Amino acid sequence: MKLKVSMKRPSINLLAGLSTINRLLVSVLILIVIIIAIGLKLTFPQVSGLLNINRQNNDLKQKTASLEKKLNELSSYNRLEIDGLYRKVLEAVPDENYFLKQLALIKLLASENNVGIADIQVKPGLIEKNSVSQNADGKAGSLNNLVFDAKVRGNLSSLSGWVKSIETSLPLSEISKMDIDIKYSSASASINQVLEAEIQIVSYWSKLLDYLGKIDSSVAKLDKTDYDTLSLLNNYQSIPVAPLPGGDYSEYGGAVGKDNPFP
Amino acid sequence: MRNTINFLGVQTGRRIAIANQLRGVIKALIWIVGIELFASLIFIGWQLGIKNQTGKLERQNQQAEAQVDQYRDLESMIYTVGTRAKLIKPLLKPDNKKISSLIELTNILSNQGILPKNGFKIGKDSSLQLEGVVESVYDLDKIKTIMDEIKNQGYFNSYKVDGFNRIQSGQYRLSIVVYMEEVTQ
Repeated sequence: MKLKVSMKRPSINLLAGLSTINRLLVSVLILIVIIIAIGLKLTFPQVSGLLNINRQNNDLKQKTASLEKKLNELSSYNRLEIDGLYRKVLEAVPDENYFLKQLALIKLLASENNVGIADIQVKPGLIEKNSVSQNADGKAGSLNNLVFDAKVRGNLSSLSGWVKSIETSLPLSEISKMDIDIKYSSASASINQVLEAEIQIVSYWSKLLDYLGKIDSSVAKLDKTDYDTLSLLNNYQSIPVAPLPGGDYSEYGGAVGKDNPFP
Repeated sequence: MRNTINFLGVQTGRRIAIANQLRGVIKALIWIVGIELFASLIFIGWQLGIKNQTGKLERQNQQAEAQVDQYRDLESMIYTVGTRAKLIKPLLKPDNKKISSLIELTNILSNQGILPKNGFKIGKDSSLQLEGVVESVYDLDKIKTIMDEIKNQGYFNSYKVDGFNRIQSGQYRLSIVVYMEEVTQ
């Protein structure tokens, strides 16, 4: 009879072959695994979130450390000295295309050295609202050229003095080309002979950076080479220039062209 | 009787075994719950600790940022000074004063009578090119002697006579190139 029953109902219960004790044990084990799984499922997002916060904390620690390092570096600089150097480099390479000032300087130096300027041409570039730039997007961190082509007249001594004074004045300028014609003598030139010269003077300017970077970025260091270079600027003189008629040197590049009578 | 005893014995043994297993299971459950409670406590402690640390770090960071911010103008000046120092370095080389040096040299040469009447050109490669017709009493050797003499005085690095052609009696086309620097030719 017993055999008949088992034949009628084949075991589909996985625990059928186990004794009551073992059946209970297996059920409890499954229950435990389920409890642990639920526990893990519930705590995992929390743990993950905390690990994220921990990572952010580590980032904050690093950021604070770099800020403190930067603070130490910055406080080690002499503000007065840096301020003086800053003014000097801006005199050497202005942050705007102050071509009127440069033009006035070239003319002033010419008259001081008895050099007559017959003609001078400058191509200042595009005129912006408050300044003039060589390129519409004059890049910061690179030199922009401001080229003057001049025809001048003078003797060798005065030309030499004029060129030398241009080369040793601020803003920095270079004589990129010079052609000298000897007009007034059939004999060889002498120091007092009047010569005509075509000269090309190149001045430079460079925009200041608009954005310095993140606050925790490292400080650009001034090394010995930089200081050596900057000390050479002491050999150059800055010459105060009187404004040209109608010129306003608070915005050297701005006082160009006619005023708008119908603003 | 014997069967009854056996039956009872079996029943009792099974009950005891089940009771033992149940005790074990309950113990295991208690352990699990205990461990989970303990883990929860640690977790809560960790959470509180981290959140507390976050607040502290944020305050420190804000404080450091505020301090660095006070030096922002100085940092900007340092950056400008540094970048411009590198930009202007090539412009400050002594050879950039070559033009005035070359004019001085021209002056010296003219005093020796070696200035061509048609003029001269000064190039950016620190060269001085003297070209033109020379109504010269010098012959080429004499010009060379003078040039060497001036060169030995350190006025220039090298020179070459590019051309010295007789045009007519007493007139020569002279072309001399003087280099202030070492030039690879």
